[in-house]
Amino acid sequence: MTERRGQRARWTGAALVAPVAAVIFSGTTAWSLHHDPHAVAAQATTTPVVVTPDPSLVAMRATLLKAAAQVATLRGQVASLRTAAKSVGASTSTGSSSGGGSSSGGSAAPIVINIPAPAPAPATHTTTGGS
Amino acid sequence: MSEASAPDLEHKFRAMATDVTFQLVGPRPESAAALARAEAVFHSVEQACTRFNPDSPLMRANADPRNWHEVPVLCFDAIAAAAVAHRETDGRFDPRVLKALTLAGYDRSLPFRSGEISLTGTGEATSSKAMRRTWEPGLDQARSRVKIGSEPIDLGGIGKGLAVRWALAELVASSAAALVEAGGDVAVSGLGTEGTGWRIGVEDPRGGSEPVAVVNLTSGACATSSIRVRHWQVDGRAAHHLIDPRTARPAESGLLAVTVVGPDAAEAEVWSKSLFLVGRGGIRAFADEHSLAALWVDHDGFVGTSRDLKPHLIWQASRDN
Repeated sequence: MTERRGQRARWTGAALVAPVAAVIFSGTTAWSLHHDPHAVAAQATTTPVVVTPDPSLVAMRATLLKAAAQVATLRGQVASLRTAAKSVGASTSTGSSSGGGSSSGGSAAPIVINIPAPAPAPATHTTTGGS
Repeated sequence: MSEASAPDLEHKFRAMATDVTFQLVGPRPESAAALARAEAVFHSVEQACTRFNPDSPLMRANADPRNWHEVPVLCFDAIAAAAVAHRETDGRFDPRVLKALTLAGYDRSLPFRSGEISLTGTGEATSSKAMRRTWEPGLDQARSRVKIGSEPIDLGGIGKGLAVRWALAELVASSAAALVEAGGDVAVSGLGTEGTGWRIGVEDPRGGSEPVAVVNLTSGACATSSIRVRHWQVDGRAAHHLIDPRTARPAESGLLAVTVVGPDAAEAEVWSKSLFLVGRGGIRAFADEHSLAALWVDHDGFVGTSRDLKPHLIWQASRDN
């Protein structure tokens, strides 16, 4: 079979180009597989979601924590006062003629804690309030 | 509540629907004229800025808010001050609450001190789209002209404080110490009647006869936003005058009153209202973050104070911290 020269040149060119193109194409494909944004996203761990807390909720929590700390402090104070009151009660009952020889046993006297009344408000020149 | 030593001069009168008192210590010869000028300030502010007279300069501007109107200087200055306050409070102070006040039944001066008030409402207020945008009135100082904007305004949340500010300015040079008090807004200068400052009781909004706290000032001001007096029933629902611009309805903040101490009476008044709107849950954090000296009483009677109030606080009925 006789081939025309131009046609043979085109086939030769294609024969040269095709492998080169195949190499380029396969390289590109390999690159795209490694750089597919979807593929990367699928492999990555879940992006953490940042939640901006409600400012009023943050304030309420801060107030709650503060109140809890105050309660803890007051509980400590109550415990100390009770200890001190027991000591006072023990020494009192030991010296009492009507009391027994032992400070233990028998019903404990009620603990009376005298809380001083708050000082009255100072005299004022005027008042701020609703109108 | 006991009273302190009397001042050398005391002047009382009524204006802006409230009792006004001037106290002077060590008055100078010009003090009589200064007292007259200071009183005139209140009458002028009332005449120019009242919403209860449809012919007042403010209400004429409100009637046609999208056009320019020439107003007296006091009215211009009040609207300009309101615009500044609106920006500085990020819109919490918003004078565009006139419609909401009217719809809530407060469309005229009401006899709040005469007993409980029951009204019939004229409709439900809703916050308009315009209210969600920053209020920027037109201000032409050279010609004392204003353009209110799309919504009419009420200057009740700053007018009294401005009058107190301007009145004190008339008095400071005429005496060694001065105090101006109008409807609970107070401004002072000098060391008071005993040389240790002016002692100001913070009213118990629950109606108790004793204050919840006492502050001491030698300069500056304090103001209180409270629902103790200006509240009423409308269609069987509780209402009050502290309108939340976000909802166009009386604020439901969990608070009864907020008092702010600051360098200026108008600013103190504005911030007391703004903190009231912040509400019980966030008021402490907000006040501390903005370095506001504030005290508040909530519906449970809890009295809270901010960090910056402490230098001024000399007595408190109950401790919150």
